[in-house]
Amino acid sequence: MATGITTYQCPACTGPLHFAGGSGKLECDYCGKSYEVAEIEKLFSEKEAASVAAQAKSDAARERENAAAQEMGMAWDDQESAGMKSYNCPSCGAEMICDATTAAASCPYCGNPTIVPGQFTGGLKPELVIPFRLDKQAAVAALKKYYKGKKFLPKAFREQNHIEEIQGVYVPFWLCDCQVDGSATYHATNSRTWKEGNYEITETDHYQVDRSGRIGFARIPVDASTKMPDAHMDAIEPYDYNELKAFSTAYLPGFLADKYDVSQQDSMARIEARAEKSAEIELRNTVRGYEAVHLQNRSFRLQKSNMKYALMPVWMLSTKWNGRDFLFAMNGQTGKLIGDLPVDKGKYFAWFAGIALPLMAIILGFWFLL
Amino acid sequence: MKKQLFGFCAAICFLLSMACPAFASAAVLPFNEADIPFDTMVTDNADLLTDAEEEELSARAWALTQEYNCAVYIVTLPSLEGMEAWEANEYLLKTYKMGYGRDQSCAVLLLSMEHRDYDIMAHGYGNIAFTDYGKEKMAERFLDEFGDDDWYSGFTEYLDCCEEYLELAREGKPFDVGSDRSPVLGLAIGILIPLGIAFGVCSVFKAQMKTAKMQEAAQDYIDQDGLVLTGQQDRFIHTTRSERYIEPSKDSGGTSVNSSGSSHSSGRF
Repeated sequence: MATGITTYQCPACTGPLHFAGGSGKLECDYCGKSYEVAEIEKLFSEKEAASVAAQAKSDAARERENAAAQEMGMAWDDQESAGMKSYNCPSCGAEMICDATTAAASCPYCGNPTIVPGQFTGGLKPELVIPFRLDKQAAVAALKKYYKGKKFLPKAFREQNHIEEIQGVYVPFWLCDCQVDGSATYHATNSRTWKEGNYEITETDHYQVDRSGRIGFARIPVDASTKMPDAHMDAIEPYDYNELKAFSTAYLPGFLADKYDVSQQDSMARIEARAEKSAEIELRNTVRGYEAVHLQNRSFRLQKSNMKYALMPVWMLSTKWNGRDFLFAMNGQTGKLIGDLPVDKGKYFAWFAGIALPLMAIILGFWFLL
Repeated sequence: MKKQLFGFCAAICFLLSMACPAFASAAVLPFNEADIPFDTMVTDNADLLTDAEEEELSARAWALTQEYNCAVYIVTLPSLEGMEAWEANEYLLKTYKMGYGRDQSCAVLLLSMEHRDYDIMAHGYGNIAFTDYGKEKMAERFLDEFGDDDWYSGFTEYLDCCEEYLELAREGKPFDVGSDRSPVLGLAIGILIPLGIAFGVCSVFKAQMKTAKMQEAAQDYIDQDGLVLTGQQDRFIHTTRSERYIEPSKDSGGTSVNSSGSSHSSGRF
């Protein structure tokens, strides 16, 4: 039965398959057998096509139902239903209400890993994916290590934190190839200093330095999901692009995945700012042989040549503490972990006083007693 | 020359004792610890003071000498006879056995009018009470008055200073580098610097709690060709010159005593 979503089942025992980062294969949770991604892709390609068609049919039927319900005054209002989609779990039949951008999830009732192939068809299909390399155990271990040595971290936060709830998410990214042409003008100086009697003499030579050039960039990443904080996604860069693969939904089982909801056009401002900053840094690095260099003016022009849609692996933990949200993100490929932690005010002031008071005693003692 | 100087001073001392019988008698007042005549406290060979001023200053110097067991002298000369001011001061100390007690404890302010030289000399216990920094600060206090030929005020400043320094030395805290530190400045430094350091250290720890930051550049994604320079020009424009006065470095305190056992601070007014 086509339900609009797909579960990858073990050809041997029909148990659910999930993608294992360590082996790079799909593994069965029940019989333990593992399969190459290409092997499963081939087996399930027909099933995915049927799922897409079924989802289209289901969406049309649901629209008719909604129209009828609207007439009867029983429908969800626009605000309630905005950005939501419902699917039936092929394993237990339960109805799953998901975000409209959700592309891979797990059934909340039976835990079955499910894929929504319709999210990734046609123009919405990602071209590339970096599969997860680090598993959940590695993510949990990294987060525990991250907490260590943080002097202001509240003890209660560490204890009450549900680290086990960390989730693997394929985050949509745009990867942009581009070139920046530009020029910059600097004011540079070199100085000589010597003493004449009680005077220090300084002579400074002033120069105007002009540089122009072009610089190419390959695959500058920018996250294409409004759900993901840009600072978190930027901070876990870079990814190793040598492990980029052609996209397949077979990499998704066992993880969450979203399709993009930030367009290429809307992403360009951030790409442009980063590329131009790098061009400025590189041009500045060519100004050598001076003691001081000050940028006077700069002018850059960006030319976009190619933009690819890719999914990147991220382990995420969202936790609430004392009414505030804290989000941690770990690069699912390299293990780089970042996140903001709460500050224990008591510990902060204890450290502050522990440093300031003895220093005050020493300095005041020296000043007034010696 | 030294004989001439000796004769000149002796004559002046004799004339002083003759001219001021009241003070001459005061000079023989009981003074248990040493035999320091009253009329040797101020020797005004350059004739800068009136008799009354000289008497007043002598009385004050003599009182200080008795109070602190350290002789306080004022000497003025018309000329140094080719000597440096400090040499003349040491010559007088040695020749006239100036000072209190065996170690000849004293402070002597000598003025010579020929080239308007001055020298402050300390000896014996005077080297403890009158540190190099103390003598330097003392000179700053009277140089303005001497520069204006206001001799009496200048010598009064000198004696005020001697009294302050001798009193501090008796309390075990001779006036030295740091003695004139402002308590307000001390409080400000003693409070603000520790607060600043504590804030800096805590800020470093706090920064470790916040690691999610936007990337400003894209250095990791520069292609293999890197930057291709299409133009570069470095043009010399001009040269500028600036001068900055360097304050003489302050010493770390104490008293520099020469081989004669004296310390000096000399200059011109």
